[in-house]
Amino acid sequence: MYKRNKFVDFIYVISLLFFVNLIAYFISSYSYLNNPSISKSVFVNRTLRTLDDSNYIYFGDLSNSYLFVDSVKYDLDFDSYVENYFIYYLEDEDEEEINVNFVVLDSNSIYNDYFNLYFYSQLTD
Amino acid sequence: MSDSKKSIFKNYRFYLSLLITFGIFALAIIFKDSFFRIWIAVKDFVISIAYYFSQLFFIDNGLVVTVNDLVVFPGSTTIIPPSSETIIPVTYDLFAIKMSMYWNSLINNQTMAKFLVAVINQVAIFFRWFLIFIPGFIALYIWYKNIFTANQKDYFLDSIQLSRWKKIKANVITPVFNWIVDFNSFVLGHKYFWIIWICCFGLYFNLFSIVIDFFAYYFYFVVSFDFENIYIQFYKLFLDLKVMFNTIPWPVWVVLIMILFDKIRKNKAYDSLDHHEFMNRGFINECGQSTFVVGEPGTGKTTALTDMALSQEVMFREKSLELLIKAESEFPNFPFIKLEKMLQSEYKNGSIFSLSSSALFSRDLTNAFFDFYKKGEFEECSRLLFDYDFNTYGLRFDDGSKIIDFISKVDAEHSVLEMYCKLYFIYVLQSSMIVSNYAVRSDNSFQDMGNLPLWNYDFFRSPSAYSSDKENSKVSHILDWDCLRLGKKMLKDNSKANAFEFGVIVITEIGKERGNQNDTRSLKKTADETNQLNDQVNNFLKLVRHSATVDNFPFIKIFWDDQRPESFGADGRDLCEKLVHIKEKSSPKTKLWLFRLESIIFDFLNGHFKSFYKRYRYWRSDNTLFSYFIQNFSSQIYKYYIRLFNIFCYSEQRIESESSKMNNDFDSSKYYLSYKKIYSYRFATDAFSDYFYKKAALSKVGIDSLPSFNCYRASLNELSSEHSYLFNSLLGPVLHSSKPSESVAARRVSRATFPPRDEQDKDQQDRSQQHGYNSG
Repeated sequence: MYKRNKFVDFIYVISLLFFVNLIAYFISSYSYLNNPSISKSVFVNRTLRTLDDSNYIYFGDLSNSYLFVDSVKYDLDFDSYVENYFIYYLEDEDEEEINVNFVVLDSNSIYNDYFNLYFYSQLTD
Repeated sequence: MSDSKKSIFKNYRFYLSLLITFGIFALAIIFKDSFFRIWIAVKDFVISIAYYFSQLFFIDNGLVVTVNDLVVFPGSTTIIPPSSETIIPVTYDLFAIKMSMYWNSLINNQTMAKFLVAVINQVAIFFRWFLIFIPGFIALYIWYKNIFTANQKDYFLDSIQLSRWKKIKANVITPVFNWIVDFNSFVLGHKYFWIIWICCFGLYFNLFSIVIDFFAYYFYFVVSFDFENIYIQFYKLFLDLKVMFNTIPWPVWVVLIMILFDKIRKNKAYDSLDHHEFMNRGFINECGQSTFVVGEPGTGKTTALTDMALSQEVMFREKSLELLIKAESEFPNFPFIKLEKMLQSEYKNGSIFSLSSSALFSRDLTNAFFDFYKKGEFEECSRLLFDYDFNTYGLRFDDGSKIIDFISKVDAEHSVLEMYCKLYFIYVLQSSMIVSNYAVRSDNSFQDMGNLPLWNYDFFRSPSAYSSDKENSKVSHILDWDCLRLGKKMLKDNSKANAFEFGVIVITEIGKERGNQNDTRSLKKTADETNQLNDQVNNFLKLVRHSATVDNFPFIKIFWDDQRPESFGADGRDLCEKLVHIKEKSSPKTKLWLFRLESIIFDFLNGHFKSFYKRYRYWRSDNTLFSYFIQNFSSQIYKYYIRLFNIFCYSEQRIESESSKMNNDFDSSKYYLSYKKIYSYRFATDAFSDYFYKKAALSKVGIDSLPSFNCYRASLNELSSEHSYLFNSLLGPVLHSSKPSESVAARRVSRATFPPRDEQDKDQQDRSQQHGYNSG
């Protein structure tokens, strides 16, 4: 019969569980990008109404946490941007101010009047 | 309309299949977007084809390719079908951003926290279910304990619950299962049903659209080299596959992935076994014509010997085919198939049965050819060579070093015609190529469509072997030692004495047959009777390659084994280029992924089952529903596990090879023993058991009747009953003397250790009864 060592069995099972979890972690991390549910963050909607005629804008480094914002729901208003950063403010349901550091806008003619918006934020509270 | 077509309309399965087909058609309402999608794909394909040809012939018609476009679906405001999202963003730039986001967020407190929360949630769900089932587990445990409280002696009687279950199984489960199998075979037998079903799901899940769009982009890409839009194709692919991923429930995906994984891991494991087989063959080729395998008992000498013989047989067949193809390359226009057909008819009527008779056939043909040639009757010559136009295509081939004749009277042996006849005989030989002093079974299958036959040599993917499968088995030929004797033969006028020409000779325990110098010291070369000194077997083995060489390749290999190299005389050992010492055999190994995990689970379950089974068999002999399920479940697990074990496991033998001069210059290597190959009724480890069976059958008593020692210290009488040389010489004067010594010490010893015989028998009987046996 197939001979095994119990210690090696233990290491084998632990390693297997570790790798399964690692793969699950990698997949989950990607899925969190599409469906972030970070506490105090704002929910997702990738398609937004046209904001201006620019085709594509990308700003800032991406070292911070991110969130996606529905511009319609939160009635976004880009009140300022400094260099490559869009900085604007919005209020969540608890009327707490969230400082959104980075914004990415994507426009594509095929989208007709639709944009994809990604907001990379540093939650200030 | 034929009868079979008419009868199908009387079959209710036909109407059921029809109903299912309409049901699948009705699913079009749910998958209506797929019709729009395939229309777009076809349009993309047609435009891409037009673009391809216009670019190919430099026609500038301003055609705009649509394969890179994302189209708004009807009823939707986006390119994405309604109620659908994609995993990847729509442009490569966004994808790059998203990937950047991904890597940044990968090692991130929030992501880790989220993952941990998700894991904890899953664990919590598991424990919730566990808590729900706890009362059930407790009840089961109590029930389990109660099973062993009563000593039940209803031998193999079914309990009421089990009887009911068997009735349900016989009346409901088995008929339903059989019906499903029957319906499945009906559908498979009427391909238009399952083809329609597959086509429908291919359409609904956008699989056809994906294939069409792939070719649309392919034709566009090969003339445009548009790398920029490759990403959009991936986006569309994800978009299309989304339908299938969303529709099929996750448990189905889990099963499909497991099946796919199992298939991949088995293919990889088979590849490893193939690799080992090729490494073994490399090792065998290095060993030369004769190989002497030695090793301690239990290291697998005879197993390795048999394994090598099986591989060598395959190598001979492969080599003969290689040389046949070489001959056909030298004379590509010769109708070899006609020659082969004539050879086959000669095999059938028995006129060709060996290499020499093949040569004889070829030489008769050669003589007839040259007779006609001398007379100038070239048409007859051509007819003899199966209408080969030798005037146009020639009868000679220049290989750069020599001119090879297709047909030759002077050097007939090296003419292609004679070599081809011999090689074809070797290649299509239907019986085993192995000649051995114990039985070796091979089962290479011969596949012939009436043209060039092919052999299937696969040792690993073949179905399990039957011990009595005479149809597919080729058991080795009995080694008649007279075949190997150039000198005196044991049987005068032995008709088989000259039959051996080529093949694989396998001899186990060679030393016991041939002996060494010490064993043969008392023998004389001049003796009238045949012995190891005057039979000239060694000379035969030295010269046999001359009879077995065809097209400069010797179709002869000799393997033998014994425990020590010295068991075989030095002259015999010198025949071998290598002595192969098997140092040790490893425990089973496998390259099958996750087999260790399966083994851990199997050992856990099997251990518990064995424990249960022993207790159950001790307490009870009836059949309960619980024991029935446990036994059948464990049996299925055992079947699954042992099949994987026997197919994919192997042992490594650590081998040290040295020259037959035994100069202690060792080369280390490994030899692989695949269980599937070598333990498929290939040989019997108790090869000579029939002798011992017959010997034991002569006895009227068995082990139970052999006397036992009286206590843990043997008496002198008991020692003397061993009939051993040692005790006979030591105790003989004491025990076998008619008048025992009268010394006081001897009398004391005698009284102390020799109770009266009837007393001994009584003691022994008491002990036997104590163990519950009849001492006989």
